[in-house]
Amino acid sequence: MKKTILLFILNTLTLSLLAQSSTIKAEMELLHKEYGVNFVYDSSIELNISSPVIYDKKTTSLDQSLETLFAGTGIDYEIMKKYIVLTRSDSKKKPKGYTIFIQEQKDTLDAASITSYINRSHSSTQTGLTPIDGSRFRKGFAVLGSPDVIKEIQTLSGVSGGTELLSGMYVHGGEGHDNLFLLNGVPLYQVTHLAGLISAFNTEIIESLDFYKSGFPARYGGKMSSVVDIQTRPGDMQEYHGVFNIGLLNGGLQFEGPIVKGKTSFNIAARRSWFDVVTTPFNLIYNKVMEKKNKRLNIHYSMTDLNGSITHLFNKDSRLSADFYYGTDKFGLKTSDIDKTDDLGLKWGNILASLNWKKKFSDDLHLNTSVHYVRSNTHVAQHHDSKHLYKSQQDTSILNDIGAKAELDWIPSEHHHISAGASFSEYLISSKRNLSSEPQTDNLFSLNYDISEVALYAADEISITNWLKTNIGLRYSLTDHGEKTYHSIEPRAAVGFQLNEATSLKLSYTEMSQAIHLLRAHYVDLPMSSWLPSTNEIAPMRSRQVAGGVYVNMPHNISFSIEGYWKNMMNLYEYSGVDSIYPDIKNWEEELILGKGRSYGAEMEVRWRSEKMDIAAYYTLSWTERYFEEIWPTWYPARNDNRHKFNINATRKFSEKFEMYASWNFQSGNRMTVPTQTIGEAIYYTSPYNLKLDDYHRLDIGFNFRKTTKRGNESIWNLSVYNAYCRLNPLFYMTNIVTDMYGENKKIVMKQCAMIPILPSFSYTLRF
Amino acid sequence: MRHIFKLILAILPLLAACEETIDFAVDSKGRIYIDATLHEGGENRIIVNVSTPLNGQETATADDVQIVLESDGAPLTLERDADYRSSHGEISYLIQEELHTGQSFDLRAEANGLESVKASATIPEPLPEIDFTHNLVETYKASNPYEVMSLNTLEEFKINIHEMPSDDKYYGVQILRKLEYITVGDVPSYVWEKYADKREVVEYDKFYVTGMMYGADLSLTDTEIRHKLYGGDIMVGQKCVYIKPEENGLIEGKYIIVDGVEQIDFEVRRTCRYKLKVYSLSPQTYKCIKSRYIAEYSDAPLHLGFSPATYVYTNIEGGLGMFGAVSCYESDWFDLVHRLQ
Repeated sequence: MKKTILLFILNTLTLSLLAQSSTIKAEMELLHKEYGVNFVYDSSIELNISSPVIYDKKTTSLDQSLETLFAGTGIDYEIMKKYIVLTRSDSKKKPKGYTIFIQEQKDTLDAASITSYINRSHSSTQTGLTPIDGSRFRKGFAVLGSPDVIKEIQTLSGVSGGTELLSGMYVHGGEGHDNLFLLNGVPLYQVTHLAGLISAFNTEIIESLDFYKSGFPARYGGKMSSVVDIQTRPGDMQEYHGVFNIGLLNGGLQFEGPIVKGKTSFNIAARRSWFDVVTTPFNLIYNKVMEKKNKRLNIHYSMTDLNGSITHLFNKDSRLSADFYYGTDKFGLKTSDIDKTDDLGLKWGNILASLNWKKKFSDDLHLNTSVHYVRSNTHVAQHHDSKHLYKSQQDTSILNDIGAKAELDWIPSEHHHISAGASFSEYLISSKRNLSSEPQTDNLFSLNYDISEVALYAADEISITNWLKTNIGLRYSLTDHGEKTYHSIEPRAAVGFQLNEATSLKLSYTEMSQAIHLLRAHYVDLPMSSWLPSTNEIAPMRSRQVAGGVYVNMPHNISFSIEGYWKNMMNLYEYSGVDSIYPDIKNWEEELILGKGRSYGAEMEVRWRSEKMDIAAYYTLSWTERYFEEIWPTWYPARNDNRHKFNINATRKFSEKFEMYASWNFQSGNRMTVPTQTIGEAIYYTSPYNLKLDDYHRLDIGFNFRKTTKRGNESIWNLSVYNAYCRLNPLFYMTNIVTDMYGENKKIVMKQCAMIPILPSFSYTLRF
Repeated sequence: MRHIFKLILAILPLLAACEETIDFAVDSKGRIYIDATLHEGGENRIIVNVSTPLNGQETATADDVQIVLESDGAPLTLERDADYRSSHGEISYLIQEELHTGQSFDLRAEANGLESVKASATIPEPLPEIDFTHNLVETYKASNPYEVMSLNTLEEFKINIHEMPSDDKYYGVQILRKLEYITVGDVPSYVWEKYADKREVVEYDKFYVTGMMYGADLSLTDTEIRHKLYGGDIMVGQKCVYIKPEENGLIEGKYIIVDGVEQIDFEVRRTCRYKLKVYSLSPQTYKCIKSRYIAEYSDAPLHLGFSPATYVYTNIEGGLGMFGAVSCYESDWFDLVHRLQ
């Protein structure tokens, strides 16, 4: 059961009063409109179930309406001034208190503000969890006019963002490719577009996101450092509506509504970049100017993604949903002159399809089953054609993930909450390189792997006393490679002490393993990297992490937490080949060297929320180190050993029509290896990552201007300024060894290149 | 239209690139540099030097370095090699005692104003008798992306070292090629110009030798790399200088010899003889050589800050270089015909 307790502040919607049948949700909307009351309820409560029409202004009071509405539904209600709190009638765990966050009304139900119930993680044993509600993405923070999941996570404590704009996510000293991204419970492998500039997740359809960096529940496995569990919104069962938006990078359309009212709905969202609009005239101008020199250029890039879902309610206890995701990036660069042509083409992306059935046998027993198919593919093609030479190289990497899982959630008594499940995945991985040239013959090499993985888990959240809880869990996975089988036993344990109503202490221990590796030669998210499995030579990566902290809900809606963690990482692999772009797949096992890592530190979060203001501050103090015996004889700092990280985000709503946000980000500089010594012609590096680069900081600000159109739709103009004070944060560096006129007195000259100055952007959104 | 294009070009850098030269300080002093590869028999030498910090001043020279070498607690005698021709200020010391396999060494060096260094090495046990085959597979013409035509010769070797692999055993394979140039008819002058550097050798002693040290399961690449071990250049393969044999102790590999040719259907023919050397490397030696190789030849954008960790391994604690040890098996010369067509 999803524990999030959400606050829905229902808003004005016009429903036909003449309708003869309705749903509980629709009736609640009418009550809200008539009496101005707001409903607070747990998201697990099903409201899209049939209901008699109870509203009759002349004859029924609010009390009578509520009584009629919820009679026999298993839902209790409690009137608290202007709020009506809904709970399940036989819930073993009544909420002890609420923090209610009010936002002004908007025009439609789905535009209503939804915010996390603040006690959610406070009262459990969970550490390292940051729940993010989907509405947070739609409020304003937008890099280059596009809200972004990964860039939102980058602002959280414990997460290093790597290089500016490149969607790096190095969690608790992780490797960047060890984060489990789940879209409705199904893993996604290519999670960014445009070398990391945009994440693959369309924020318009996100209902909620849970980000775990420690204390991983037993149901999660397969990656080592973090879990990003994204749930998308099912389509509206009653009405058709949607969103159109266009920003500096891309435009999108989202549309949802009923297929059969109250029973079946759809939700579909698509995005596409429009760089083509810029590059097409650029190509034309260039080709026109260079026509006399017989030079031609054709450069283009596009990204597309499409999310779709169909949800069907068999009854209030049974729901079936089918989800689909398609995302692809295409880049092409073709140059030619009088006697030669060079052509580079890149294509990469994912396809995901899943079927999910949720069944509630009783209020205490839930079943969640699903089957999925994911295909992640990259393709790189290069051609060189000239009078004397034809040469081409094509690299293709494909990962097919076919799987099924079943999860059971059971509350046998008020002292136990048991979850258990099993999953099976078949990974079909192929990687192929085709080199051909004239007069040399073709040279084709391919790798094919068929990997089976079975995982079982069980966990019990035990309430020993009112103030002491523990969560004991175990996950077991078996990965079979044909020649070798890896077994992984991963204990998950946590304990929570509720010191008083406002304060809790927690401690967790988790182990995670990862049997799939990203072979890459650089830190830029490009399609030249390949997902490859553990083999006889390459063991699964593994992490062990202890985390603990103090969590306090202070008066005036201030929450505070401080967490410490220590994480060890085993079986890390570093690429040791000399190819900078294309790792050699033929000898890939030999080109990976074995090492280990560790990270430790403390994180602090403070948040204050009021009706119109929301301020959150995150600070991280951490150390991240690596030990690769072949690189250096002792521990050395990792590339993303960012000692300090500080973020403060603020949103202020001035009126119905205008709101503003600001975000200041600071991070100690990344590290880089530079040569420091010379003998004759030779240069020497004295230790890995021996230079700490300049600190990174920037301020983003943004404004939302809201307006209601003549047709009653909401339009939003967003004006954002990225890097408002134009801090020239380095994107990359260039080092050169220079000498005097006699070729002596060598010196190293280093230039830092900042590509992102102050960058204003805008976007327009129309909700209809 | 041309003006519009120029305008766009002029504006783009203003919008999208800001470049700044930055100061940084990593090392202010030089480091003691050691280069030695100890082995049983023959001449053993230790080369000593002091590096110069790239953004600092030279504070000492090789003459200032005091070096002590011990084996099992007993000091060994080091004598400066007066005949050694120094190219960058280095000094060479000859070890006066005979060394033997299994012997361990501790080295310490210090100089005023510099960090002291220390290192250890053990000469690996000798390799057993080795079986090998070495065959010509095919010869074909090829061209590289720079459109330089070449004649490639694909050769393969199989070596059985009769030892089971383990994590602390590394092997290096070196195939020496002895060339003889034979002229048939009149050779155009430009051909000899092309081979000018080789002709010197040919005229001197009728052959020259290159060493090739190859890594495991070589890829079909025409890139050769060169490593400076003491005593001369050793060419090593694209991959790395170690080989881990398969379960049966068998090393198999292929490599390509690339000879640049342009319009050569001609009159120079070469005969080659080959010799196989198989080294048993101490783990530290292997790591040092591999590290040098990757740092020097990787085309990863190390200088941009996007690459994985740079290989900077040295077993000279506090200093630079390599204090290595090897055992070597060496075959007799054998024939393999290789000719330009």
